[in-house]
Amino acid sequence: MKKKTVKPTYSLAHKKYLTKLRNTRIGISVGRWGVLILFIGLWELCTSIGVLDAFMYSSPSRIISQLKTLFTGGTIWNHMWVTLSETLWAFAISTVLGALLALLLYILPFTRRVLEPYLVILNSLPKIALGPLIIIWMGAGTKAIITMGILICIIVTTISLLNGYLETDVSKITLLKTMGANKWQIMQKLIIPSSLPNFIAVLKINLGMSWVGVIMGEYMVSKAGIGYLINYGSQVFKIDLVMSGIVILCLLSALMYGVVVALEYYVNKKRGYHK
Amino acid sequence: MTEKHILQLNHVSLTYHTLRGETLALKDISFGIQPGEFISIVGPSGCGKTTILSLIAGLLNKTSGDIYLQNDPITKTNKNVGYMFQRDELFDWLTIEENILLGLTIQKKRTPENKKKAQELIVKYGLDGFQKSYPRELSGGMRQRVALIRTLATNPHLLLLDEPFSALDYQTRLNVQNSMHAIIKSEHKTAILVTHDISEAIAMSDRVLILTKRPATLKKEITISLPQNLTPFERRNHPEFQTYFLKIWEELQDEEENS
Repeated sequence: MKKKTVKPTYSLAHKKYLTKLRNTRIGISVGRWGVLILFIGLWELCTSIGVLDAFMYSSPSRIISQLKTLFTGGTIWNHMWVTLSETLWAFAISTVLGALLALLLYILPFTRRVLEPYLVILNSLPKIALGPLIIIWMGAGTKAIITMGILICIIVTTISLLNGYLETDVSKITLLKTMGANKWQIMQKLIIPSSLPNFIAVLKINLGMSWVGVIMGEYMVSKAGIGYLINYGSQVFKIDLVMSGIVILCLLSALMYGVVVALEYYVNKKRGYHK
Repeated sequence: MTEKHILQLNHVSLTYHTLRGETLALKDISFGIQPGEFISIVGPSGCGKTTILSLIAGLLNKTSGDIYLQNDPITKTNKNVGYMFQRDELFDWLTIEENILLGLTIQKKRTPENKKKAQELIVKYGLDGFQKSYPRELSGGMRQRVALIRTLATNPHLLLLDEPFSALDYQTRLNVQNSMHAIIKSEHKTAILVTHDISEAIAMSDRVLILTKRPATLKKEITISLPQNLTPFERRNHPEFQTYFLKIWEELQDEEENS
Protein backbone atom coordinates (compact mmCIF):
# COMPACT_ATOMS: atom_id res chain seq x y z
CA MET A 1 0.00 0.00 0.00
CA LYS A 2 1.19 3.45 -0.82
CA LYS A 3 1.94 5.64 2.13
CA LYS A 4 -0.30 8.64 2.24
CA THR A 5 1.04 11.97 3.45
CA VAL A 6 -0.90 12.54 6.59
CA LYS A 7 -2.56 15.89 6.63
CA PRO A 8 -3.12 17.14 10.15
CA THR A 9 -6.79 17.46 10.85
CA TYR A 10 -7.59 20.77 12.41
CA SER A 11 -10.70 21.77 14.30
CA LEU A 12 -13.06 24.24 12.69
CA ALA A 13 -11.94 26.95 15.06
CA HIS A 14 -8.30 26.45 14.08
CA LYS A 15 -9.17 26.53 10.39
CA LYS A 16 -11.00 29.79 10.97
CA TYR A 17 -7.98 31.14 12.80
CA LEU A 18 -5.65 30.20 9.92
CA THR A 19 -7.98 31.75 7.36
CA LYS A 20 -8.09 34.94 9.38
CA LEU A 21 -4.29 35.10 9.50
CA ARG A 22 -4.04 34.55 5.75
CA ASN A 23 -6.69 37.14 5.00
CA THR A 24 -4.83 39.72 7.08
CA ARG A 25 -1.63 38.97 5.19
CA ILE A 26 -3.34 39.35 1.83
CA GLY A 27 -5.06 42.49 3.03
CA ILE A 28 -1.77 44.12 3.94
CA SER A 29 -0.29 43.32 0.52
CA VAL A 30 -3.32 44.68 -1.29
CA GLY A 31 -3.26 47.78 0.91
CA ARG A 32 0.41 48.46 0.17
CA TRP A 33 -0.01 48.28 -3.61
CA GLY A 34 -3.29 50.12 -3.29
CA VAL A 35 -1.64 53.15 -1.69
CA LEU A 36 0.87 53.37 -4.55
CA ILE A 37 -1.73 52.89 -7.28
CA LEU A 38 -4.11 55.36 -5.65
CA PHE A 39 -1.37 57.97 -5.31
CA ILE A 40 -0.23 57.63 -8.93
CA GLY A 41 -3.82 57.46 -10.20
CA LEU A 42 -4.95 60.56 -8.30
CA TRP A 43 -1.90 62.48 -9.41
CA GLU A 44 -2.49 61.55 -13.05
CA LEU A 45 -6.20 62.34 -12.77
CA CYS A 46 -5.68 65.73 -11.10
CA THR A 47 -3.16 66.85 -13.68
CA SER A 48 -5.23 65.65 -16.63
CA ILE A 49 -8.47 67.39 -15.55
CA GLY A 50 -6.54 70.52 -14.61
CA VAL A 51 -6.87 70.54 -10.82
CA LEU A 52 -3.08 70.46 -10.69
CA ASP A 53 -0.89 72.24 -13.21
CA ALA A 54 1.17 69.52 -14.91
CA PHE A 55 3.88 72.08 -15.68
CA MET A 56 4.34 72.80 -11.97
CA TYR A 57 3.65 69.36 -10.54
CA SER A 58 4.53 67.08 -13.45
CA SER A 59 2.53 63.85 -13.75
CA PRO A 60 3.17 60.10 -13.83
CA SER A 61 2.77 59.91 -17.60
CA ARG A 62 5.09 62.87 -18.18
CA ILE A 63 7.66 61.29 -15.82
CA ILE A 64 7.50 58.03 -17.72
CA SER A 65 8.04 59.71 -21.06
CA GLN A 66 10.88 61.80 -19.55
CA LEU A 67 12.49 58.61 -18.20
CA LYS A 68 12.17 57.03 -21.67
CA THR A 69 13.96 59.97 -23.21
CA LEU A 70 16.67 59.87 -20.54
CA PHE A 71 17.35 56.17 -20.94
CA THR A 72 17.29 56.22 -24.76
CA GLY A 73 19.64 59.22 -24.67
CA GLY A 74 22.10 57.13 -22.64
CA THR A 75 23.82 59.88 -20.61
CA ILE A 76 21.61 58.93 -17.65
CA TRP A 77 23.76 55.85 -17.08
CA ASN A 78 26.73 58.10 -16.46
CA HIS A 79 24.75 60.30 -14.05
CA MET A 80 23.57 57.24 -12.17
CA TRP A 81 27.04 55.77 -12.00
CA VAL A 82 28.54 59.06 -10.74
CA THR A 83 26.04 59.35 -7.89
CA LEU A 84 26.11 55.67 -7.05
CA SER A 85 29.90 55.52 -6.89
CA GLU A 86 30.10 58.68 -4.79
CA THR A 87 27.56 57.22 -2.39
CA LEU A 88 29.35 53.89 -2.18
CA TRP A 89 32.65 55.62 -1.46
CA ALA A 90 31.12 57.85 1.21
CA PHE A 91 29.31 54.85 2.71
CA ALA A 92 32.36 52.59 2.72
CA ILE A 93 34.84 55.15 4.01
CA SER A 94 32.56 56.47 6.76
CA THR A 95 31.64 52.94 7.88
CA VAL A 96 35.24 51.73 8.05
CA LEU A 97 36.57 54.90 9.68
CA GLY A 98 33.63 55.09 12.07
CA ALA A 99 34.09 51.45 13.10
CA LEU A 100 37.81 51.96 13.72
CA LEU A 101 37.19 55.16 15.66
CA ALA A 102 34.52 53.45 17.78
CA LEU A 103 36.89 50.56 18.46
CA LEU A 104 39.66 52.92 19.49
CA LEU A 105 37.37 54.89 21.79
CA TYR A 106 36.12 51.64 23.29
CA ILE A 107 39.56 50.38 24.24
CA LEU A 108 40.72 53.79 25.45
CA PRO A 109 38.19 54.87 28.10
CA PHE A 110 40.23 57.91 29.12
CA THR A 111 40.38 59.26 25.57
CA ARG A 112 36.69 58.47 25.23
CA ARG A 113 35.82 60.67 28.16
CA VAL A 114 38.07 63.46 26.93
CA LEU A 115 36.49 63.44 23.47
CA GLU A 116 32.87 62.91 24.56
CA PRO A 117 31.77 66.58 24.48
CA TYR A 118 33.36 67.08 21.07
CA LEU A 119 31.48 64.12 19.65
CA VAL A 120 28.21 65.48 21.01
CA ILE A 121 28.82 68.93 19.53
CA LEU A 122 29.93 67.55 16.16
CA ASN A 123 26.90 65.30 16.12
CA SER A 124 24.49 68.18 16.62
CA LEU A 125 26.25 70.45 14.12
CA PRO A 126 24.41 70.61 10.78
CA LYS A 127 27.23 69.32 8.59
CA ILE A 128 25.91 71.19 5.55
CA ALA A 129 27.20 74.34 7.26
CA LEU A 130 30.70 73.08 6.52
CA GLY A 131 29.91 72.93 2.78
CA PRO A 132 31.69 76.16 1.76
CA LEU A 133 34.79 75.17 3.73
CA ILE A 134 34.85 71.73 2.16
CA ILE A 135 34.69 73.25 -1.31
CA ILE A 136 37.57 75.61 -0.48
CA TRP A 137 39.71 72.82 0.96
CA MET A 138 38.81 69.94 -1.33
CA GLY A 139 38.12 71.81 -4.55
CA ALA A 140 34.78 71.94 -6.36
CA GLY A 141 34.60 68.29 -7.42
CA THR A 142 33.97 64.69 -6.56
CA LYS A 143 36.28 64.84 -3.55
CA ALA A 144 34.16 67.55 -1.94
CA ILE A 145 30.97 65.54 -2.55
CA ILE A 146 32.37 62.37 -1.01
CA THR A 147 33.76 64.36 1.94
CA MET A 148 30.30 65.80 2.52
CA GLY A 149 28.85 62.28 2.58
CA ILE A 150 31.53 61.05 4.98
CA LEU A 151 31.08 63.99 7.35
CA ILE A 152 27.36 63.43 7.57
CA CYS A 153 27.77 59.72 8.36
CA ILE A 154 30.88 59.31 10.41
CA ILE A 155 29.87 60.84 13.74
CA VAL A 156 26.59 58.94 13.91
CA THR A 157 28.39 55.74 12.91
CA THR A 158 31.01 56.21 15.60
CA ILE A 159 28.53 57.03 18.35
CA SER A 160 26.10 54.20 17.48
CA LEU A 161 28.82 51.57 17.17
CA LEU A 162 30.50 52.71 20.36
CA ASN A 163 27.21 52.46 22.23
CA GLY A 164 26.77 48.98 20.82
CA TYR A 165 30.18 47.93 22.13
CA LEU A 166 29.49 49.52 25.51
CA GLU A 167 26.23 47.62 25.86
CA THR A 168 28.07 44.29 25.89
CA ASP A 169 26.98 42.15 28.82
CA VAL A 170 29.50 42.69 31.64
CA SER A 171 29.14 39.16 33.01
CA LYS A 172 30.08 37.73 29.62
CA ILE A 173 33.25 39.82 29.72
CA THR A 174 33.93 38.49 33.22
CA LEU A 175 33.33 34.95 31.96
CA LEU A 176 35.98 35.35 29.27
CA LYS A 177 38.36 36.89 31.82
CA THR A 178 37.96 33.87 34.11
CA MET A 179 38.90 31.73 31.11
CA GLY A 180 42.07 33.79 30.83
CA ALA A 181 41.14 35.84 27.76
CA ASN A 182 43.18 38.92 26.87
CA LYS A 183 41.70 42.21 25.65
CA TRP A 184 41.99 41.30 22.00
CA GLN A 185 40.27 37.94 22.52
CA ILE A 186 37.42 39.62 24.39
CA MET A 187 37.08 42.01 21.45
CA GLN A 188 37.20 39.29 18.84
CA LYS A 189 35.12 36.62 20.57
CA LEU A 190 32.53 38.75 22.31
CA ILE A 191 32.34 42.50 21.67
CA ILE A 192 32.36 42.36 17.88
CA PRO A 193 30.08 39.35 17.35
CA SER A 194 27.60 40.46 20.00
CA SER A 195 27.28 43.91 18.43
CA LEU A 196 26.89 42.58 14.89
CA PRO A 197 23.09 43.14 14.79
CA ASN A 198 23.74 46.71 15.94
CA PHE A 199 26.38 47.05 13.21
CA ILE A 200 23.84 46.08 10.55
CA ALA A 201 21.33 48.57 11.97
CA VAL A 202 24.06 51.21 11.69
CA LEU A 203 24.71 50.19 8.08
CA LYS A 204 21.06 50.79 7.28
CA ILE A 205 21.09 54.27 8.82
CA ASN A 206 24.43 55.05 7.23
CA LEU A 207 23.19 54.15 3.80
CA GLY A 208 20.38 56.70 3.99
CA MET A 209 22.76 59.30 5.40
CA SER A 210 25.34 58.83 2.65
CA TRP A 211 22.64 59.45 0.04
CA VAL A 212 21.73 62.67 1.86
CA GLY A 213 25.37 63.78 1.99
CA VAL A 214 26.09 62.98 -1.64
CA ILE A 215 22.98 64.63 -3.04
CA MET A 216 23.64 67.72 -0.93
CA GLY A 217 27.21 67.72 -2.19
CA GLU A 218 26.00 67.40 -5.77
CA TYR A 219 23.63 70.33 -5.30
CA MET A 220 26.64 72.40 -4.25
CA VAL A 221 29.37 71.57 -6.73
CA SER A 222 28.68 68.82 -9.25
CA LYS A 223 28.91 68.64 -13.02
CA ALA A 224 27.23 65.23 -13.19
CA GLY A 225 25.08 62.92 -11.13
CA ILE A 226 21.41 62.57 -10.16
CA GLY A 227 21.67 65.46 -7.71
CA TYR A 228 23.12 67.60 -10.50
CA LEU A 229 20.28 66.54 -12.79
CA ILE A 230 17.63 67.47 -10.21
CA ASN A 231 19.30 70.79 -9.49
CA TYR A 232 19.66 71.53 -13.22
CA GLY A 233 16.02 70.57 -13.82
CA SER A 234 14.80 73.00 -11.18
CA GLN A 235 16.97 75.82 -12.54
CA VAL A 236 15.57 75.47 -16.07
CA PHE A 237 12.13 74.76 -14.59
CA LYS A 238 11.81 71.27 -16.04
CA ILE A 239 9.81 69.68 -13.25
CA ASP A 240 9.55 66.43 -15.24
CA LEU A 241 13.33 66.12 -15.05
CA VAL A 242 13.36 66.87 -11.31
CA MET A 243 10.70 64.23 -10.65
CA SER A 244 12.45 61.68 -12.86
CA GLY A 245 15.65 62.25 -10.90
CA ILE A 246 13.78 61.63 -7.65
CA VAL A 247 12.26 58.42 -9.02
CA ILE A 248 15.68 57.15 -10.09
CA LEU A 249 17.08 58.02 -6.64
CA CYS A 250 14.25 56.11 -4.99
CA LEU A 251 15.02 53.04 -7.05
CA LEU A 252 18.79 53.24 -6.52
CA SER A 253 18.53 53.68 -2.77
CA ALA A 254 15.97 50.88 -2.51
CA LEU A 255 18.37 48.66 -4.43
CA MET A 256 21.25 49.40 -2.05
CA TYR A 257 18.99 48.94 0.95
CA GLY A 258 18.05 45.57 -0.47
CA VAL A 259 21.72 44.59 -0.50
CA VAL A 260 22.03 45.39 3.22
CA VAL A 261 18.85 43.46 3.99
CA ALA A 262 20.28 40.50 2.09
CA LEU A 263 23.46 40.80 4.14
CA GLU A 264 21.39 40.82 7.31
CA TYR A 265 19.56 37.71 6.16
CA TYR A 266 22.86 35.99 5.43
CA VAL A 267 24.31 36.90 8.85
CA ASN A 268 21.20 35.68 10.65
CA LYS A 269 21.26 32.47 8.66
CA LYS A 270 24.87 31.88 9.67
CA ARG A 271 23.77 32.31 13.25
CA GLY A 272 21.14 29.64 12.91
CA TYR A 273 17.99 31.69 12.41
CA HIS A 274 15.64 30.98 9.47
CA LYS A 275 16.06 27.25 10.04
CA MET B 1 46.86 19.38 56.99
CA THR B 2 47.51 22.58 55.09
CA GLU B 3 49.55 20.97 52.31
CA LYS B 4 46.57 18.75 51.53
CA HIS B 5 44.44 21.79 50.74
CA ILE B 6 43.82 22.62 47.11
CA LEU B 7 42.86 26.14 48.16
CA GLN B 8 43.86 28.04 51.24
CA LEU B 9 42.82 31.53 52.35
CA ASN B 10 44.81 33.08 55.21
CA HIS B 11 43.56 36.24 56.94
CA VAL B 12 42.16 37.69 53.72
CA SER B 13 40.71 41.20 53.88
CA LEU B 14 39.38 43.41 51.14
CA THR B 15 38.63 47.09 51.14
CA TYR B 16 37.11 48.75 48.13
CA HIS B 17 36.98 52.39 47.28
CA THR B 18 34.23 54.53 45.86
CA LEU B 19 33.80 58.27 45.66
CA ARG B 20 31.75 58.19 48.82
CA GLY B 21 34.43 56.48 50.84
CA GLU B 22 36.04 53.16 51.49
CA THR B 23 34.23 50.01 52.56
CA LEU B 24 35.69 47.05 54.37
CA ALA B 25 33.98 44.18 52.57
CA LEU B 26 35.86 41.15 53.89
CA LYS B 27 37.69 40.97 57.18
CA ASP B 28 40.19 38.33 58.18
CA ILE B 29 38.72 35.40 56.28
CA SER B 30 40.57 32.12 56.60
CA PHE B 31 39.55 28.70 55.35
CA GLY B 32 40.90 25.80 53.38
CA ILE B 33 39.33 23.30 51.06
CA GLN B 34 40.46 19.77 50.32
CA PRO B 35 40.55 18.16 46.89
CA GLY B 36 37.18 16.71 45.99
CA GLU B 37 35.39 18.65 48.70
CA PHE B 38 32.18 20.56 47.98
CA ILE B 39 31.66 23.58 50.20
CA SER B 40 28.96 26.23 50.29
CA ILE B 41 29.16 29.80 51.46
CA VAL B 42 25.99 31.34 52.85
CA GLY B 43 25.42 34.71 54.46
CA PRO B 44 23.18 37.76 54.57
CA SER B 45 22.60 39.30 51.13
CA GLY B 46 25.23 41.80 50.12
CA CYS B 47 27.75 40.49 52.63
CA GLY B 48 30.43 39.75 50.06
CA LYS B 49 29.95 36.09 49.15
CA THR B 50 30.55 36.75 45.47
CA THR B 51 33.53 38.93 46.37
CA ILE B 52 35.25 35.88 47.83
CA LEU B 53 34.77 34.01 44.57
CA SER B 54 36.10 36.99 42.60
CA LEU B 55 39.23 36.99 44.77
CA ILE B 56 39.78 33.26 44.25
CA ALA B 57 39.20 33.65 40.51
CA GLY B 58 41.80 36.41 40.43
CA LEU B 59 39.30 38.99 39.16
CA LEU B 60 39.90 41.17 42.22
CA ASN B 61 42.97 41.76 44.32
CA LYS B 62 42.88 41.29 48.08
CA THR B 63 43.92 44.15 50.35
CA SER B 64 45.78 41.91 52.77
CA GLY B 65 46.25 38.22 53.55
CA ASP B 66 47.20 35.32 51.30
CA ILE B 67 45.34 33.07 48.90
CA TYR B 68 47.03 29.92 47.67
CA LEU B 69 45.78 27.64 44.95
CA GLN B 70 47.75 24.40 45.00
CA ASN B 71 50.42 26.24 46.97
CA ASP B 72 50.81 29.03 44.41
CA PRO B 73 49.68 32.52 45.39
CA ILE B 74 46.82 33.83 43.26
CA THR B 75 47.68 37.08 41.50
CA LYS B 76 45.64 36.94 38.31
CA THR B 77 43.03 34.76 36.62
CA ASN B 78 44.01 31.14 36.65
CA LYS B 79 43.28 28.33 34.22
CA ASN B 80 42.85 25.90 37.09
CA VAL B 81 39.77 27.75 38.26
CA GLY B 82 36.43 27.50 36.48
CA TYR B 83 33.68 30.02 37.16
CA MET B 84 29.93 29.57 36.77
CA PHE B 85 27.48 32.43 36.93
CA GLN B 86 23.85 32.97 37.92
CA ARG B 87 22.83 33.02 34.31
CA ASP B 88 24.31 30.54 31.85
CA GLU B 89 26.00 33.32 29.82
CA LEU B 90 25.93 31.22 26.68
CA PHE B 91 26.77 33.12 23.50
CA ASP B 92 23.59 32.97 21.46
CA TRP B 93 25.41 33.31 18.12
CA LEU B 94 27.45 30.16 18.75
CA THR B 95 26.26 26.57 18.57
CA ILE B 96 26.20 24.50 21.76
CA GLU B 97 29.39 22.79 20.65
CA GLU B 98 31.18 26.08 20.01
CA ASN B 99 29.95 27.42 23.36
CA ILE B 100 31.39 24.39 25.11
CA LEU B 101 34.71 24.78 23.29
CA LEU B 102 34.92 28.51 24.11
CA GLY B 103 37.31 28.12 27.03
CA LEU B 104 39.57 25.80 25.06
CA THR B 105 39.58 28.27 22.17
CA ILE B 106 40.53 31.16 24.46
CA GLN B 107 43.29 29.11 26.06
CA LYS B 108 44.48 27.91 22.64
CA LYS B 109 43.97 24.30 23.67
CA ARG B 110 41.59 23.22 20.90
CA THR B 111 43.52 20.03 20.29
CA PRO B 112 41.77 16.98 18.82
CA GLU B 113 42.30 15.28 22.15
CA ASN B 114 40.62 18.04 24.16
CA LYS B 115 37.80 18.28 21.64
CA LYS B 116 37.26 14.57 22.01
CA LYS B 117 37.08 14.94 25.79
CA ALA B 118 34.53 17.73 25.44
CA GLN B 119 32.51 15.55 23.10
CA GLU B 120 32.61 12.78 25.70
CA LEU B 121 31.26 15.18 28.32
CA ILE B 122 28.48 16.22 25.95
CA VAL B 123 27.44 12.61 25.40
CA LYS B 124 27.87 11.59 29.03
CA TYR B 125 25.70 14.38 30.35
CA GLY B 126 22.80 14.02 27.98
CA LEU B 127 23.42 16.74 25.43
CA ASP B 128 24.25 14.48 22.50
CA GLY B 129 22.37 15.53 19.39
CA PHE B 130 22.32 19.18 20.48
CA GLN B 131 25.89 20.00 19.35
CA LYS B 132 24.69 21.97 16.34
CA SER B 133 21.73 23.56 18.12
CA TYR B 134 21.72 27.12 19.36
CA PRO B 135 21.21 28.11 23.01
CA ARG B 136 17.75 29.58 22.30
CA GLU B 137 16.56 26.11 21.29
CA LEU B 138 17.36 24.64 24.72
CA SER B 139 15.47 24.76 28.01
CA GLY B 140 16.83 26.70 30.98
CA GLY B 141 17.99 23.54 32.74
CA MET B 142 19.80 22.23 29.68
CA ARG B 143 21.44 25.60 29.11
CA GLN B 144 22.82 25.58 32.65
CA ARG B 145 24.15 22.08 32.05
CA VAL B 146 25.86 23.35 28.88
CA ALA B 147 27.39 26.13 31.00
CA LEU B 148 28.76 23.54 33.43
CA ILE B 149 30.23 21.42 30.63
CA ARG B 150 31.77 24.59 29.14
CA THR B 151 33.40 25.16 32.54
CA LEU B 152 34.56 21.54 32.79
CA ALA B 153 35.93 21.43 29.23
CA THR B 154 39.08 23.33 30.19
CA ASN B 155 39.59 20.81 33.00
CA PRO B 156 39.90 23.19 35.97
CA HIS B 157 40.65 21.74 39.41
CA LEU B 158 38.43 24.12 41.30
CA LEU B 159 34.90 25.17 40.37
CA LEU B 160 33.42 28.41 41.62
CA LEU B 161 29.63 28.36 41.47
CA ASP B 162 28.01 31.74 41.94
CA GLU B 163 24.33 31.01 42.61
CA PRO B 164 24.09 28.96 39.42
CA PHE B 165 20.56 27.75 40.19
CA SER B 166 18.92 31.01 41.16
CA ALA B 167 17.66 31.87 37.68
CA LEU B 168 15.88 28.53 37.27
CA ASP B 169 12.31 27.72 38.24
CA TYR B 170 11.91 25.51 41.31
CA GLN B 171 11.27 22.18 39.58
CA THR B 172 14.15 22.66 37.16
CA ARG B 173 16.37 23.85 39.99
CA LEU B 174 15.97 20.60 41.92
CA ASN B 175 16.71 18.56 38.79
CA VAL B 176 19.73 20.62 37.79
CA GLN B 177 21.06 20.43 41.35
CA ASN B 178 20.90 16.65 41.14
CA SER B 179 22.61 16.43 37.78
CA MET B 180 25.26 19.06 38.56
CA HIS B 181 26.07 17.38 41.86
CA ALA B 182 26.45 14.06 40.06
CA ILE B 183 28.62 15.56 37.34
CA ILE B 184 30.90 17.38 39.78
CA LYS B 185 31.34 14.30 41.94
CA SER B 186 31.98 11.93 39.03
CA GLU B 187 34.55 14.31 37.55
CA HIS B 188 36.20 14.53 41.00
CA LYS B 189 36.11 18.30 41.06
CA THR B 190 36.45 20.55 44.04
CA ALA B 191 33.70 23.14 44.25
CA ILE B 192 32.70 26.25 46.14
CA LEU B 193 29.04 27.19 45.88
CA VAL B 194 27.80 30.62 46.83
CA THR B 195 24.10 30.69 47.61
CA HIS B 196 21.46 32.39 49.73
CA ASP B 197 19.40 29.23 49.79
CA ILE B 198 20.06 27.26 52.99
CA SER B 199 18.43 24.04 51.72
CA GLU B 200 20.50 24.14 48.57
CA ALA B 201 23.70 24.56 50.60
CA ILE B 202 22.90 21.55 52.79
CA ALA B 203 21.69 19.40 49.91
CA MET B 204 24.78 20.01 47.78
CA SER B 205 27.76 20.31 50.07
CA ASP B 206 30.05 18.61 52.54
CA ARG B 207 30.62 21.75 54.53
CA VAL B 208 28.81 25.07 54.90
CA LEU B 209 30.60 28.32 55.75
CA ILE B 210 28.43 31.00 57.30
CA LEU B 211 29.46 34.62 56.89
CA THR B 212 28.47 37.57 59.03
CA LYS B 213 27.03 40.72 57.53
CA ARG B 214 29.42 43.32 56.18
CA PRO B 215 32.29 43.52 56.90
CA ALA B 216 32.05 39.77 56.35
CA THR B 217 33.94 37.51 58.69
CA LEU B 218 33.70 33.76 58.95
CA LYS B 219 31.02 33.20 61.58
CA LYS B 220 30.78 29.46 61.65
CA GLU B 221 31.66 26.30 59.77
CA ILE B 222 29.20 23.43 59.77
CA THR B 223 30.20 20.02 58.46
CA ILE B 224 27.29 18.22 56.85
CA SER B 225 27.60 14.54 57.56
CA LEU B 226 24.77 13.18 55.49
CA PRO B 227 25.43 9.92 53.60
CA GLN B 228 27.72 10.50 50.60
CA ASN B 229 25.80 8.30 48.20
CA LEU B 230 22.56 10.27 48.35
CA THR B 231 21.54 12.73 45.65
CA PRO B 232 20.85 16.31 46.74
CA PHE B 233 17.15 15.60 46.42
CA GLU B 234 17.36 12.53 48.63
CA ARG B 235 19.43 14.47 51.14
CA ARG B 236 16.58 16.95 51.41
CA ASN B 237 14.39 14.10 52.70
CA HIS B 238 16.96 12.79 55.17
CA PRO B 239 15.78 13.07 58.80
CA GLU B 240 18.86 15.08 59.81
CA PHE B 241 18.36 17.63 57.05
CA GLN B 242 15.97 19.69 59.15
CA THR B 243 18.43 19.79 62.07
CA TYR B 244 21.10 21.29 59.85
CA PHE B 245 18.60 23.67 58.39
CA LEU B 246 17.61 25.00 61.81
CA LYS B 247 21.23 25.31 62.89
CA ILE B 248 22.15 27.44 59.89
CA TRP B 249 18.86 29.33 60.01
CA GLU B 250 19.55 30.35 63.60
CA GLU B 251 23.03 31.54 62.80
CA LEU B 252 21.74 33.68 59.96
CA GLN B 253 18.78 34.91 61.97
CA ASP B 254 21.22 35.99 64.63
CA GLU B 255 22.92 38.17 62.00
CA GLU B 256 19.63 39.70 60.94
CA GLU B 257 18.71 40.61 64.49
CA ASN B 258 22.08 42.16 65.20
CA SER B 259 21.62 44.59 62.36
